[in-house]
Amino acid sequence: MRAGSKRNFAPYLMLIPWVIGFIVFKIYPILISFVYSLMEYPILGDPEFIGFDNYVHIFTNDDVFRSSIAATMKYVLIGTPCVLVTSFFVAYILNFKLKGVNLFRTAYYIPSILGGNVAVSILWIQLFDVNGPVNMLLGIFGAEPVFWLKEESFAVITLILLKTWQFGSTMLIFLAALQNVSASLYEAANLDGATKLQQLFRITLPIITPMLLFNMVNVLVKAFQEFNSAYLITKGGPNYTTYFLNVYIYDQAFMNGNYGYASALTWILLLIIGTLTALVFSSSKYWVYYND
Amino acid sequence: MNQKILSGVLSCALASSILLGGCQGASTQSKAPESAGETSSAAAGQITSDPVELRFSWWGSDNRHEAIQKVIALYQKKHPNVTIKAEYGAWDGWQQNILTQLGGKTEADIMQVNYNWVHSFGKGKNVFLDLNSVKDYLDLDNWDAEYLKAMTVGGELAAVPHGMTGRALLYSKPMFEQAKLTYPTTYQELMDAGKTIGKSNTATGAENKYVMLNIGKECPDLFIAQMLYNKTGKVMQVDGKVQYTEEEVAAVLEQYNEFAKSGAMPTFQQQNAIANESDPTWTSGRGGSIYEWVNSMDKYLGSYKGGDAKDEIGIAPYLVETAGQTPNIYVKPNLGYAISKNSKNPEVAADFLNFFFTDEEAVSTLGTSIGISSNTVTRDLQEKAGLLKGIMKEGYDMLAKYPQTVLDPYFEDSNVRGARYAALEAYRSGKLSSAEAAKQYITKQQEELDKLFK
Repeated sequence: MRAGSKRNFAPYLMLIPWVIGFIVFKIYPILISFVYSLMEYPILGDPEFIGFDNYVHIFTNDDVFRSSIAATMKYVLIGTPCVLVTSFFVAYILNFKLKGVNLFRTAYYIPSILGGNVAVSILWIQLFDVNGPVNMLLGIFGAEPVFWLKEESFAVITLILLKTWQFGSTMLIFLAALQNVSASLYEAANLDGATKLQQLFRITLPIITPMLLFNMVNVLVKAFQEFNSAYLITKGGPNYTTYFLNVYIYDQAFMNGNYGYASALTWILLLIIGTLTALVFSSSKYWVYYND
Repeated sequence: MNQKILSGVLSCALASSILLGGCQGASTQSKAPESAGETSSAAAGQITSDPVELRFSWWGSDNRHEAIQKVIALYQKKHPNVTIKAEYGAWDGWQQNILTQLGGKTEADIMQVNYNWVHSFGKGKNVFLDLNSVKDYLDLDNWDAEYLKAMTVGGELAAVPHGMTGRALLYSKPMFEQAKLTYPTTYQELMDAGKTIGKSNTATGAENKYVMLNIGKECPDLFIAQMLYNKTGKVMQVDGKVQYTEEEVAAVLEQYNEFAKSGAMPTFQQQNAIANESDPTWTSGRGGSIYEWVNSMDKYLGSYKGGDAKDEIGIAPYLVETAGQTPNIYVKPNLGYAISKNSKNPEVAADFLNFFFTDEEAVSTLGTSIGISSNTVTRDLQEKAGLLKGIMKEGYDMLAKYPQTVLDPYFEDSNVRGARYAALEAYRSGKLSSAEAAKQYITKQQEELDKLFK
């Protein structure tokens, strides 16, 4: 019995570093940020407990928050389906046995590696300049030039396009899922006379729904946390239409030094993400199929 | 199948984290110039002979980084027991960097600071070392009392200014020669020049020419602030109160909009997204002028036509409402140097700053990478070294011609300024009327000031 106890103790011992790290770097900051959210906490001053005043101010007297939440929701609700549809579509094509398919798979993954860095932001600014290549291309079809980064209705679209362009990681997950769909199912469907479209909706999509759920949650959460593109390309403008919550939180915390207010904003963001994620998970019992 | 999928997912996640992690980069660079010699000065011996390690942080462009590192090496050569680690980077994000360091008490011993930081960071309380406490090592008599007063918070001297600066107009001579025009001196002439120089402009023209470029958000904000000052004779704010009426602001906004309509300036939509000296309209010579801090003019000189046409650039007169009117000029301490309250060696840090401002070789090495100094010793040494020349000198001379008003410390507070930016953008983009924008300009700015003065 003593020997058995030793055997059971070893894994817990090995887990301790991770548990300590998780508590110190994840749990503690999350909990303390809630405490901060109940304070007026200037970064260089003494914190003062003010109850829920920060939350009350955010919901009743903060025009910037209203603009910011509208911009964020627009980005998430349009951007998430765009990424999922595009990445699935490309993965579906790259799942065929094409010549040089590995080259295409690599090429489509590259934008994801680049991330939202400064070089990509400059590229995007140039591409979507009023005299840039995108407008030139649209001009061939007779379209009027668009001020992509200066018009309220277009600026967020520009950032959604950037997010969609960086679909590589999501695509790879779809591809891995598609490659695990048994060929025998398609053979049987062919014998039954099912069309390709029927095979897609009746076989492929249902089988990969667990991966679709995984991707949906991942893309949704990352979209809510978007920062780089808005900060580097549009700087939140024009008129706060791309001033995502994460940018607002960053400005409040590190530009203005209002840790308390920024913490309250962070908790609101956390609750929104948590609620939407919970909704997606709870709905999954109606559309996600597990074969085990 | 599930195992394979899981394996694929994990592989992707691992690859993503490694690759994306690899893309992360430090925004700052840290380097300790090696001590270049073994001699020790008497001053160093007076403070301490123990090994001392200091950190010095600043932002700027490459020429400043190189110059300051050389000065650090000079100091270390004279004080072999002192090692100074340099922490430097570009301006973008520097305020956030310093604020976070101060919050975590991990700031450098010596910091280059902005005028508004010394007032805004502590909301009226000094967050840096009171330099009066190290005046035995840092000669404060070399500054005009008024300049030191601008850096004084709650009775404590938070920083010493390198110099004073203000905005002036840097202009491209060929554009006006080709149009057979002299540079405008009044707002009406600016509009008239726009009708000539910008006559071929289109809404989206890639070859549009403008009399003046309103780069970024700061440029229009300061230009409009000066217009308001010129037109009303009143400064933006006094003791936390905005001084203008909605009618006064609305009138100026409308006139500013007319500049864009006439072709004198880009409209909000035409304004380039690259909001710095790399704005292609300026670098290609299609921008007639820039409204810029005089100590920062060199960077626009360097980017104009690839830096190969510096002779084409001159300093234009200030624009005023009516011909002959004396312009009202805002100035501010251009850069300050502060010492951390948490420094273990504030005396050595002060001694280094004294060296920075008063050593002949150091001043000569710095050149005008920080600007022309208001420290009397530094300025004399800059003059002796023949540094007071060129476009920056012309800019300072232009400033010196007119009465100067030191900007209110909270004029550039990020929230106060942000309130003005938001109103201007809403008006310029057509979201708000001039009356609505003027109301927002005043009320939102006042709300932010009230938070600071409560």
